[in-house]
Amino acid sequence: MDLGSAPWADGIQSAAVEKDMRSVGEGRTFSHILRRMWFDRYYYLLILPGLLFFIVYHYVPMWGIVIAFKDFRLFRGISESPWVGFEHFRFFFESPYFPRLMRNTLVISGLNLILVFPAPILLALLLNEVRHHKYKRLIQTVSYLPHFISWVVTGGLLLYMFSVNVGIINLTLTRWGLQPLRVLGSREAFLPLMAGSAIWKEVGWGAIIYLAAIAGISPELYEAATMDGANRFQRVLYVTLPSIVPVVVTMLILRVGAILNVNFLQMLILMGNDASLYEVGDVIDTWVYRAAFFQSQMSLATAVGLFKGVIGLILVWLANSFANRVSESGLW
Amino acid sequence: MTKGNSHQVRDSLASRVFDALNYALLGLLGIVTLGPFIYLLLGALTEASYFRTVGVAISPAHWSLNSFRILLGSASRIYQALKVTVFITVVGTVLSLAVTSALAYGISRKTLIGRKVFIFLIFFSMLFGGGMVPFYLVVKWTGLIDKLWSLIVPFLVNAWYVFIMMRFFESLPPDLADAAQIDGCSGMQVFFRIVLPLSKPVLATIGLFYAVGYWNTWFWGTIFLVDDRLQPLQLVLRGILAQLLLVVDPETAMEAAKMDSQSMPPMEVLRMAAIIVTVLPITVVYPFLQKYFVKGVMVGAVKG
Repeated sequence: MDLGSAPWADGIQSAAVEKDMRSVGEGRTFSHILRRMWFDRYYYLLILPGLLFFIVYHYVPMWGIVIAFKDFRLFRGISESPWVGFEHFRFFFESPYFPRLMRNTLVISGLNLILVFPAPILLALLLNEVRHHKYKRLIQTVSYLPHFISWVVTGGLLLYMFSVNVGIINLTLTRWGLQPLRVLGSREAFLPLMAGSAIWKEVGWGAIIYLAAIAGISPELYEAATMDGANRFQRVLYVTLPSIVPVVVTMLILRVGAILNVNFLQMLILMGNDASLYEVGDVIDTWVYRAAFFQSQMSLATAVGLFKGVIGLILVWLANSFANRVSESGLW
Repeated sequence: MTKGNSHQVRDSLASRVFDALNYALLGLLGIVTLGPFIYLLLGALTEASYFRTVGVAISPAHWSLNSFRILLGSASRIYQALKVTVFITVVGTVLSLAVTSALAYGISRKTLIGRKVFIFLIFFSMLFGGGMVPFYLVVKWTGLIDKLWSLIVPFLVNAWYVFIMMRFFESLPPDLADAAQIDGCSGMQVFFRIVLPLSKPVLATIGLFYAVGYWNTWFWGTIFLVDDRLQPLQLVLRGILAQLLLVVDPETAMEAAKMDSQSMPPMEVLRMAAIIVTVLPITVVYPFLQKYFVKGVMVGAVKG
């Protein structure tokens, strides 16, 4: 036994260590604090790499936000770049891009909320009604395969489904002498395509959480309902649904708080290099991406990103407060 | 047994109709989910001349592995990209798991001074950030531009996973640590010898999540990478599908695989095969790890 390196050199009764520590900490003097920190030194060592990561790649970049208020060019660095105050913000709000980007962002996000958000809930409810255990398992397993593939691959699948030249649907249609469907690259089909592919990709994975919530419902509730004469559908309506409301509300409110966030990678893939689709698909994030890295407008891009980030933060905070007020189900 | 149905004695007509429809609908979901993959697999397997004349071959009589032979031969871009992605995935997952679990274990210690500050720092990073440009500048400043590490280091730790692991560590019975400490283990030995082995499910789950993330990475490659040879699999695939890149140089490939121009698979078949190669690993792996990540999602999402 190497008592020297053991952190409780004063005793082998380690069950009491935590309580000892706390009693040591009763005194909040500086030397107490230092002693405790020395006691825990290996813990600090453990968390050091992770913390360093967050500081360098999450907090240091926050410093870079000043670029939004300067005329920043890559070749001259931050300190050399002149201050321009809110010029970029003014430029953005007055530009013709602003209404289009806001509209697209809100429309797409809204569609996500109305269509893509409820789909996993519905799937969970349906899956729960399946009595054949193996079938349920099979469908579940298959349903979350798309969650694990990238949007590049999803885009490839969409290509071979819907493309006019190589997509199986159109190949079959033309073989039967029918008109091909223009889905990809079509502005009219963009929103349905977006919603449909988003649902396809995430419905199975999203259902896991709701299935878990349903599994947590006490069987006694169902028994009581049955004894009161509830049939199968009434049991779902009056037992299952109300029981998962807290989970749904939490997820919903956070989703609303993130209203300005759109699945950025999906947008990139669906729009591709087709500028004609920007009209319907270009959202704030995709525009920022192009402005920053293809048009060298780094300051402007940062300003817009900051605008979105701040609004997003406020919204999430509001959403969370609301969730707490309504049903104690906020995130913090 | 599904919830709420254990006392059914006689099914009403409505109930049976619903069941039939439900099974059909769910079956349709399965078909729509798997269908595209199967179509691509069949296409990738189709023999060259059959594809040119008829199309995708359903019967194995017209199958051939030539497309995969070409794709995985040294002349193909996919081969290079595959090496890149395997490196990123293996190295990234191992490092991410190490740093994440260490961090999570450290902050799970309730008596740690500064614990609340650390937790807040990690949590807040999920809500707000500097944005793409400052992030890019920091990556540049840390000397990672045009290096493979640029796709690993800036993405090493995911805050969400830290909290999942933290909650897991907190849920371990303290008596375990106490018993070990009575036997003379230091705090660190407790971590390595007792806690980690117990954490296999969580490590498997989070490891899978990280691995999938690294395997699928492509976006930041468009910004951080200049050298073509460093492009990960997904990025190369994107180029191939957008017809910006050629999968292989036909001449070199034919020579390398000792194929004649008749049996050389057409571009479409090669593209389908490229997609299959990209998806195959995860498709094969994920069913076996299901039980782990279903639990992981539950722990992460269900509060408290």
